[in-house]
Amino acid sequence: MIKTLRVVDYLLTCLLLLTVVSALAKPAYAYADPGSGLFIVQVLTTTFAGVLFIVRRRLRRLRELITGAYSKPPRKD
Amino acid sequence: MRARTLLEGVGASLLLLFSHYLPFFHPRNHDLFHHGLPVTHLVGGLLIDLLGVALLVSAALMAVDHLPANVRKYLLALFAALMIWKSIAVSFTLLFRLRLGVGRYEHFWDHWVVYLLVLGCVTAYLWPRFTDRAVRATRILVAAFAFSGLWIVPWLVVIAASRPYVSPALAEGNLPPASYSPGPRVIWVLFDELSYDQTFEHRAPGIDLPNFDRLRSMSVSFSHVRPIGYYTDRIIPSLFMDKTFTEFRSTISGELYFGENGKWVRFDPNTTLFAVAKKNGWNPGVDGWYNPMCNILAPVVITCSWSPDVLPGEEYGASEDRSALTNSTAVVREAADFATGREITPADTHVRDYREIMARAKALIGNDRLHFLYLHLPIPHPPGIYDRGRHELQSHGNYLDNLVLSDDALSELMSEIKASPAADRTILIVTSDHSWRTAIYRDRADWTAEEERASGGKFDDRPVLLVHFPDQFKSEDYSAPISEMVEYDFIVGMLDRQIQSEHDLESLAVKAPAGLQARR
Repeated sequence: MIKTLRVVDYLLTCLLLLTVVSALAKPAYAYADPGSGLFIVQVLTTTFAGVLFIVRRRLRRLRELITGAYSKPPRKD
Repeated sequence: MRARTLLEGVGASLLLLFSHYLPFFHPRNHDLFHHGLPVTHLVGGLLIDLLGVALLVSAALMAVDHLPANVRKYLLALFAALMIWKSIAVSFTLLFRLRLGVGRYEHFWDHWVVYLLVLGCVTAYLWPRFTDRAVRATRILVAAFAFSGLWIVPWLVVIAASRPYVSPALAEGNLPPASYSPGPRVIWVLFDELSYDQTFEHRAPGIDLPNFDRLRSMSVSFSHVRPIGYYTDRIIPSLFMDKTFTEFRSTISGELYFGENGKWVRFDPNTTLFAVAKKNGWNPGVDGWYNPMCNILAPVVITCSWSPDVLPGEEYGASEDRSALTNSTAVVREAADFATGREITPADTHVRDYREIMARAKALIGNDRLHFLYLHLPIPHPPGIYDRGRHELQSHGNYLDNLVLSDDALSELMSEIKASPAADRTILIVTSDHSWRTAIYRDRADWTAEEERASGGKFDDRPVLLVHFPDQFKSEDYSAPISEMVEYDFIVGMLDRQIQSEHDLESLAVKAPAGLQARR
């Protein structure tokens, strides 16, 4: 469970950094728009959410595996 | 139908039609602004396409599930290869929009679809277990992408329901009787992307521009004009309003705002040159390109026409004047043309725009009821559309070809002016909004060695500014640096009847009243 939380924390930090980098984009001489970064972030986050939704059963199994391992009674020596 | 299969269909549909809805998601609505509203039937057609492709792919995937394993393996490999190819192509499109220097490769992947499909089959034959895993992973990602539809589709519905905040175009030919006694006429011709350096100073070998040379030999010319911006859609409104805007945004209903000193200021047509013209009794007329002149200037011009940017599907027959159902069939024609290599290119659209604008410009010049004309020509702005040897329009070429086309266009417009009833009282202003922005085009796939030699890989930022008065037969050249914004002062001076000859202009440009001096 702690590992899962760490992974989520890491992903959120990456997302935050990506947003900050997009916001700091300087004007460049081209027909392009740094504002498109927001569109990309939206696509990536919804797709990521979609992946989580689709593989939710496997995630549940994984969670049960992790929580099951933690809740195992200590071995009696 | 399984929910998962339906999700895969929706995801595939969103991926395959990505470039069709991308323009509607510009954070400042630039694409929508350059096209104009309404787009109800165009977006309606797109929504039908999205639904149709989603159902088609879902049905196909369901049918594939009932086929023998050996056949299914190959068909699913083909599906996965198609999705991977499209994902890569979409990534390049997005990287291009993010200014990450992939301009040369923006469309590189477009024609790699066949190779990837073949690769998919070969992989399925040689490494079936690996292919099976890759197909499963691809299908999960495609189904996951369907969740983007939760915000993409509602936004498209909002765009489809948007209405312009002013009535769009004014019809040409519906002019009121002339309310102005015969007097001077001002025709302002703007050549988009015309470089002073390439036109007059460092002309490439073999490029003859006799009409620009002739006009300059009997005009007041400025050889060191400092541009007020880099982009057409900001420079031109700046020139109209005597303010320097660096950014702009549009609402989804087409209201225009400009960034000025860190604040957004709403565009007010009543503070433009055209309002000055109308107030002073001139009949202003406009023929434009790219900038939606008729939407933003409708209250202050007598007649207006413009060639807007096209949205996906319009090159293939989709139109706001047609039903959404009819528009939805454009994608079939587009796919057929893509498959047979007969796609409509930006150069084809540029040729059409040029032809339309020139025809309208000539009609406006011939209409003596219009006393102040603004004509924005889409040349020599790339893509190249001219065979300079044969002097014929075509669907390829480079900037230097377009430079010769500009010279020929100038000749045609000059002939129209000479033939018009107001020829002997016409002041002609020939300008460009900005110079040749080599930094943009050097990164693109159609940049040629000749352009590299001609430009030396450098950007000379000087636009063109020539003013020719009736009965002027000698040239006056000014080499002192001067802001492009003087065009506003010159035109207001003409509309106020303070500038009626080269001597009046000279006194303004040379003696430099306080306002003009401050611009230097």
